[in-house]
Amino acid sequence: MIRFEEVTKIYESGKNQVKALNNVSFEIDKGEIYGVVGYSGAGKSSLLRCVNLLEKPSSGRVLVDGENMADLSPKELRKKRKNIGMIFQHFNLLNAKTVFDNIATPLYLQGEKKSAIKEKVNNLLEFVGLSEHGHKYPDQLSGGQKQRVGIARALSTDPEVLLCDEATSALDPQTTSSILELLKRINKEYHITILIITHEMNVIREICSSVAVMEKGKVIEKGSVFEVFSRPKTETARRFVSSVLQDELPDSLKNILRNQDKNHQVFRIVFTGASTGQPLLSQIAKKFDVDVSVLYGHVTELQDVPFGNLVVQLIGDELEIRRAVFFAGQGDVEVREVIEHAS
Amino acid sequence: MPVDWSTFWVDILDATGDTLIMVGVSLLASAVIGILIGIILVVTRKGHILENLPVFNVLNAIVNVLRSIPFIILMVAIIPFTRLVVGTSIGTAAAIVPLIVYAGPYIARLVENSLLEIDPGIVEAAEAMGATPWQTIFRILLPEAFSSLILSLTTATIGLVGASAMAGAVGGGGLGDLAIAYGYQRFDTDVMIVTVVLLIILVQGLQSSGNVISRKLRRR
Repeated sequence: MIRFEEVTKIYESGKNQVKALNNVSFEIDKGEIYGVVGYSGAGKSSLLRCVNLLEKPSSGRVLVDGENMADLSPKELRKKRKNIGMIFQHFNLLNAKTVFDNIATPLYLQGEKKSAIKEKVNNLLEFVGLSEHGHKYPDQLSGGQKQRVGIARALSTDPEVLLCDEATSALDPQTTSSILELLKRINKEYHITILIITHEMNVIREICSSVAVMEKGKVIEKGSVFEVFSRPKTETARRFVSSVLQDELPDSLKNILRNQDKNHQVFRIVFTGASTGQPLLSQIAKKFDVDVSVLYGHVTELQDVPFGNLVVQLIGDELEIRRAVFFAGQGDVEVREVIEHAS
Repeated sequence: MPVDWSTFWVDILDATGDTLIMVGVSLLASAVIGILIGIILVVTRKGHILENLPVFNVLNAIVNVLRSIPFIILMVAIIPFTRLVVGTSIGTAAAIVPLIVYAGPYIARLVENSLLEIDPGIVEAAEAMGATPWQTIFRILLPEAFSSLILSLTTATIGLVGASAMAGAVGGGGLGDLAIAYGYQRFDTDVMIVTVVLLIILVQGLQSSGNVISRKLRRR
């Protein structure tokens, strides 16, 4: 649906050149919710704006539904943009217009009939849960409600693609969840392809199916959300993952790590999918002559698949521990020894 | 010799009418010119929807030049132009021409500022919606800035009242003319006080109505 081909974007300011995007290539499938995560200045925002050509790539191509955006005439581009909805971090609503008129604006602009607009906007108001608020002005709404207006406005032209520019970054966690739920519903009910850029990894975890990690204008890692969360390859991706999975070991554990010996070894056990439900630890304790002590861990859900991450200490004879680890490492379970400085 | 107040009221009334006509007509014309130039100054600047730096730079320079000339000098300097337009350089009609040349660029700046106050994100949203530049200006930018534009125009109107009083110095008519001819040159303090009070009432009334209209439009 959206394809980036060697996209580079260079900003020139006087003598300085800033490469906001450096040879970015990847593809977003139709109907997918794709997340791009990165720290500020990583180039996410430029990337997003290259899709609807609010920013023009310096080189490379961005194809939306097979069409190179840069090849379109101004008129064709405007038509194409109606097919690409966009929502913003700061909502960008028209303050002088009511909620109803805000949502109706794209329809007014394309010259729809009043009666058709009314029906459409009322349906959208209901869809985003703002039926009672049509007559209000944006400054009478909460942040979450404003973003709902933004979403309804973006949907008014029946787009196939929705671009989300840090859409939840100005919202509190609870409101963020409800907006993410809404985006999920949009994706399911309208089959709209959604591209989200964010610096919040939990946004990616909650709704995305695929993710790209950006740093210094480059995509340094990409894959399914499950892949990247369970096996991050780069340091940056690891840091993002630990920001939501909290798999960094707390300081209190560092002492235990320092004091481990052959008979007290610490391991990280990563469960994925069905293995999460298995009584692995009690099996180990029964089958082998080792004691198991859980030091740290948690279970979460990624893409509706359970994902567990436990740090345990196995106490017992060295050989017995090794056999237990081998046993545990079968199937969907990954066991890694944890040593200090390399948790 | 003081004026005879039983007949002088008529002169005061006439002068008030002249002031209102001068301000009204020049406001109308300079608002049209000023809003137009103000819009162009915004949309042709770097990074905006109709970026065109040559147009921006030329207009910007013209506005700056006209804004730096003191009104009283401007009035005299453009006498040939005034004569060309209205056929005379004396009287109310002749005062209107320099008033427009004076207030047009002033309003352009005020409009420019009002439009620049709008969050650039809103312009971006309009672009993302597929709005034409024309639609962005007239359906998005101007409505968003409307209440602030009213305040700008109020400020400009009051500026025009002040300038129109100066036009009295070259026989432009109006309350300023009266204040100078009778109050200043003939030391008639009563006339001076009456005209100044009338000007104060006029300015107060304009500012208050401007505030009320602007607040209504802001709908908070």
